[in-house]
Amino acid sequence: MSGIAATLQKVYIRNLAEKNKRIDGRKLNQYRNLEITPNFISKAEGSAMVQLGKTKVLVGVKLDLGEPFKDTPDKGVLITNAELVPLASPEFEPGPPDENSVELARFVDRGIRESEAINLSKLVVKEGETVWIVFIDIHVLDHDGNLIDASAYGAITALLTAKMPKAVINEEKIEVIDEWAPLPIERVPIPVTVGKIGDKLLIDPNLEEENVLDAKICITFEEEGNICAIQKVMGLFTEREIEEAISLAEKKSKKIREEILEITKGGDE
Amino acid sequence: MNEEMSYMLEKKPEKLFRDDGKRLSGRDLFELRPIKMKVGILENADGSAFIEWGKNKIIVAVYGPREIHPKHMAIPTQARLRCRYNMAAFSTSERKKPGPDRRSIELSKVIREALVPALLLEKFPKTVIDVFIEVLESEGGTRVASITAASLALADSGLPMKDLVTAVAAGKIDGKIVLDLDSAEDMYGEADLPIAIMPRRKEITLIQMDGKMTPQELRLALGKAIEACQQIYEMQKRALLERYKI
Amino acid sequence: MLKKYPKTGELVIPGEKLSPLEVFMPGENVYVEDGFIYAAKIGNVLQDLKKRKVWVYSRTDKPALLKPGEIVLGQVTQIKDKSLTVKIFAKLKPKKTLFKTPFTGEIYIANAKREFLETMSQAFTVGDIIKCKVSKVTGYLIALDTKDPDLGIVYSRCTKCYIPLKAVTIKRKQILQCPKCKIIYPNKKVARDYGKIILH
Repeated sequence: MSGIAATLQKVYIRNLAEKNKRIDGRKLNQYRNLEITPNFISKAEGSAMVQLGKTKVLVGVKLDLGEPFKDTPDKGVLITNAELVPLASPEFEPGPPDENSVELARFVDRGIRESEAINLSKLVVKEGETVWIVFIDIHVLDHDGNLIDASAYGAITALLTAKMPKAVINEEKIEVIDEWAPLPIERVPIPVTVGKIGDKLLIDPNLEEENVLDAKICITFEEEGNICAIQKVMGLFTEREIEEAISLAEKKSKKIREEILEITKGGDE
Repeated sequence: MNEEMSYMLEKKPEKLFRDDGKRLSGRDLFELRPIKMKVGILENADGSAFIEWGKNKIIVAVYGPREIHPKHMAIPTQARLRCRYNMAAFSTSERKKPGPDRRSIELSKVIREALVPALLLEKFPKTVIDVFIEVLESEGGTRVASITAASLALADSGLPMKDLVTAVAAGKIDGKIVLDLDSAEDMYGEADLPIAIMPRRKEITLIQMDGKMTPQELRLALGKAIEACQQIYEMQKRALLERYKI
Repeated sequence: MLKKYPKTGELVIPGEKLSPLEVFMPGENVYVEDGFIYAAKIGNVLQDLKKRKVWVYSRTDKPALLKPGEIVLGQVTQIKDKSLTVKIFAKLKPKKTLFKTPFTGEIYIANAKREFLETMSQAFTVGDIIKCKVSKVTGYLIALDTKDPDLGIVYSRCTKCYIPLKAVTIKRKQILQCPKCKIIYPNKKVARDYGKIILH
């Protein structure tokens, strides 16, 4: 929706929020319908198509052998990238990643990295020389709000269902053999996005709501209950609102983690 | 080999036919891979289509006619058609670096040229129509699958058209003319001949070839490809009617 | 003789042959080539036997373009002495539609208000949301009109306090006033339903 239309919409959405109502009929703490299809792309080592309401995001995980970073010779490498392709929204332009796609990629990356979701030490083939590089590529297909949550759920689902081939050192040469195992995933970080309109907080804002939000924050939880990443995306919050947002997000993240684990379990032969 | 094609590399098979005379995929010479099409799958786009062609998975969105920026790009007498063919990083065997390369720029151009003849662009002077093609998974023949899906997305967007556009590739592998090459056949065969036609009018809007064929072989390949287009056209028609039936 | 051509009600796709030109006249959503009429859009064939016309009833309202007579909503983006530029983002009549990409329209001073206006800046401010009628479309150049009392500003903000202005009635005339600093804007071209437009 056009940003100008939002000016007119704002009063309407704000009045609804005061009555604890939303433009699409949801409750303030209600998520949209979430559908995740793992293994959507067979060329990728892992993948997931996520539909969150009308938002569609496809995430692929690819593996490649490469050099480790100099300061972490004993760890594999994680690289996260997001493409906001113009197919997904009239507001996306072709060209190199803009600040929104970089923020999206970096926040998803941070949740996975800081929770130590991937045990990067298990991705070493030859210390200091060759490690597995895990590429997470986020491809947004239809933008109807809350791209961060949709992308992060796609990323963790793709990681949980990804298969890694075995790499062995054979007379100084590295060989990749046709023996596949799951990636060493040890935690499932789940972000939940909380929007603020007037003095009301709501979760999983759709695009119409995002256009009129006063503030937005994303909070990522891991299963032990720790918070592993936060990003205030726009606007301002009071201390009390942050606390409220955290408890809203915590509850919801548990439910979504259960859903994702349900979808991905039994995927391994 | 072209360096930027390296990310599309498949392992080289010893030969491209099995002992029983069928292709490695089990197909006969002129047998197409399974094709599925769906029209109207995106919310934001004015028109959209999804095609699964073998393992190729391609999504196409159409936006417009809309205002063109910068304005000097406007054509006074007709709409401008823009195409952007893009491959997702995870769409190939080896990860493809995101963003346009020379191959995708050329493909965007030839795809646009294949679609333009079917559109009545003079109805919308000074505007732009954007066709965005995202290859989500590729297995050879993405340009013909893209054209086939793009023409569905254009029809879905309500733009007036003279005809749909239907495309398929013919080629030559291990000395034999075949239809619908997959990546290994494309890579290690002798020739690849993608074509697109307006199926009702039988006019050719795309023809490219790389490799070697005799003129006789080319005639056979072209004839077979046009025949196959009729088959694909019926699928396109069904997909459109499926979307617009009451 | 029309047996092999699609009949009234039949769903057709672009390129399907509808009739020879000598039997029917071409109507909407068709094109003519080599003496035949073909469908140009997906839709249902309609043959008007009285008027001897064939056309396609389109099954979508796309592409969403503007036609003269339609009522639209736009935002004032630039004001010159004798004209202003409007970013049109929605259609109100005949059918409410939000445009995914806005169109650019223009209002010439003579078409802005019934009363005489010296300059456009007396009646409008950049950022105002206005309701207008489309008067002419050539390519993407869209001429607009706000003369009618129903048309004009539907949303405006105080240039000092940046809060939405309220419409007050003074001497049976709608005038905009800032609810905070109480400044009035006497010459604004206010629409009858100021502040009452809801897009949902």
